[in-house]
Amino acid sequence: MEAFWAAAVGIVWGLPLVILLAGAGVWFMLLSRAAPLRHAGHALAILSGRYERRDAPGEISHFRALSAALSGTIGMGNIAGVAIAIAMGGSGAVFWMWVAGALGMATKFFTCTLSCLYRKPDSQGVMQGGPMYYIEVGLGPRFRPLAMLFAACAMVGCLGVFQSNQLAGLMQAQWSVPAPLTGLLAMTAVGYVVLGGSVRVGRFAGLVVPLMCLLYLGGGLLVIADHAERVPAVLRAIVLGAFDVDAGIGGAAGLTVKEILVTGVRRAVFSNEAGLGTEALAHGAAQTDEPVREGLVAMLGPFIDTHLVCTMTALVILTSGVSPQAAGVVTTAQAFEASLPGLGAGLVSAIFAAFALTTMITYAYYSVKCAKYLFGERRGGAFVWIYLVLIPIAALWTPTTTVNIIDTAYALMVIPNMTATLLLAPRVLVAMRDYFARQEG
Amino acid sequence: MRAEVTVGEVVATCRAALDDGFRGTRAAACEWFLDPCAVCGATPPPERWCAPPDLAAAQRAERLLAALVQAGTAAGAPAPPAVRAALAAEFPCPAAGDD
Repeated sequence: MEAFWAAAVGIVWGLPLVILLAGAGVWFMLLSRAAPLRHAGHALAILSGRYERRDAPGEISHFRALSAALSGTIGMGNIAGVAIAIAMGGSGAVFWMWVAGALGMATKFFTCTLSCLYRKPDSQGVMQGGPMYYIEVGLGPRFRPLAMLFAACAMVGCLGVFQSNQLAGLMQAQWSVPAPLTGLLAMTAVGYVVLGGSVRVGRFAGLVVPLMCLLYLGGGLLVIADHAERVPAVLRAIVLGAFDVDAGIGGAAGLTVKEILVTGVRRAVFSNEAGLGTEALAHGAAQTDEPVREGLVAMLGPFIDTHLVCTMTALVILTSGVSPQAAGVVTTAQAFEASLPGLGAGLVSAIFAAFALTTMITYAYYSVKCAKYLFGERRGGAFVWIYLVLIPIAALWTPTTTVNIIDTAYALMVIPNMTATLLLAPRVLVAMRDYFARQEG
Repeated sequence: MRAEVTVGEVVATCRAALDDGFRGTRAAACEWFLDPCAVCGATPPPERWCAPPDLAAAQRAERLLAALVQAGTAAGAPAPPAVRAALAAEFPCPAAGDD
């Protein structure tokens, strides 16, 4: 059984997933003729709250929906992942991360427009959106098994077991907080926020996520300021290194351009998670009567995750003097510590402890939302207690097989979600053309 | 948070670093995983594994790779728990009263 799940997780998170998600991004970009990206300024205006209407269906603002979605994608994995991508693909991998991030923006525009285009009231009369709803409502009741497959995968895949264990390890290593105490505190915090429903989840994420992003980006800028003179050379190496191995810096020696491309694309795809469907669960709760607006706001997610946070990480690493000849500062935390002695590593730890907690909160919301879809409001709602009990247990003990099962379920969400999004894409195009025509008219 | 580095990426990084004489960027990235704390810079909890302090990083990398291969962990599995388990198996701490 252990070997089966070990093999399963290796298969589902392999190259085919990268090709599927990146390929879908290319298709959506071509289909929409990059229209969402051309309206990035309008997306920012929507995010600022200029178009908000209190009487529109949904529960949380555009800003809070985006914050909730982001809390699930930004985390410690971004930092280690970018360091590994540079070590394995050199500076050129960062360029391909940018390209894949742009493709992810197109994918999120489509999935999150759909999540508001096809919503359905639950038994309490509250409008609910997400992949299982656009599969069932958009494609018709005969596709309900596909919707149920998505909900089942998301219910299991969003269990916060891995995050709880990571958070406990971080708290123990950095501040000697015993794992049982971290587990109990995390359970209490997650329970308090999640039992308040999407409104409280959105309010919490809307407060914590922007603050953590600003702290991280601000800290990164401080570190880069120490080596500002290297920035032009690093940017040049990122662009030229994408096409010419010798022009890059980092660990690209002996690689082909294709290998650099795959390294960068893989990192961005796994980092911004565009196409897996989780983002649509968060944006489906947004208060709007214009689905395209939510798609435009959601599109900013991969930009923040990949083009801002991952790029900041890469610049911190590359400007800190990493070269193939000398073992330099590879990790962001080390670079932070070198530039901000006595504060840097602690700051990064604090930021990522907060991200781990917000991820658990958002995932709990996703998981319970899917349980309610599968088992109904009352029985599905009770799933939150199982979710909460698992948090302190996972802080102490997380068998590898459990992590593998959860990770396999997480990746499998892509099958129903991408199937539905590709089939429903023409309807997004109709809605998009109608919306932009009205805006211009 | 799902964007965790995978076992395959750690193995590839450490193997490439060892092939290259364990120097440079890849060696530094591999070393990060040899001392896996949640965020590098902190000291890992001592009770989890006890690598001999005089063992060179390259040798630790070689033993970590061997342990990961022996454990049969899938290449796509998240690295942090798998590496922690491999290190604990490869460098078990002496039981109390053993010294």
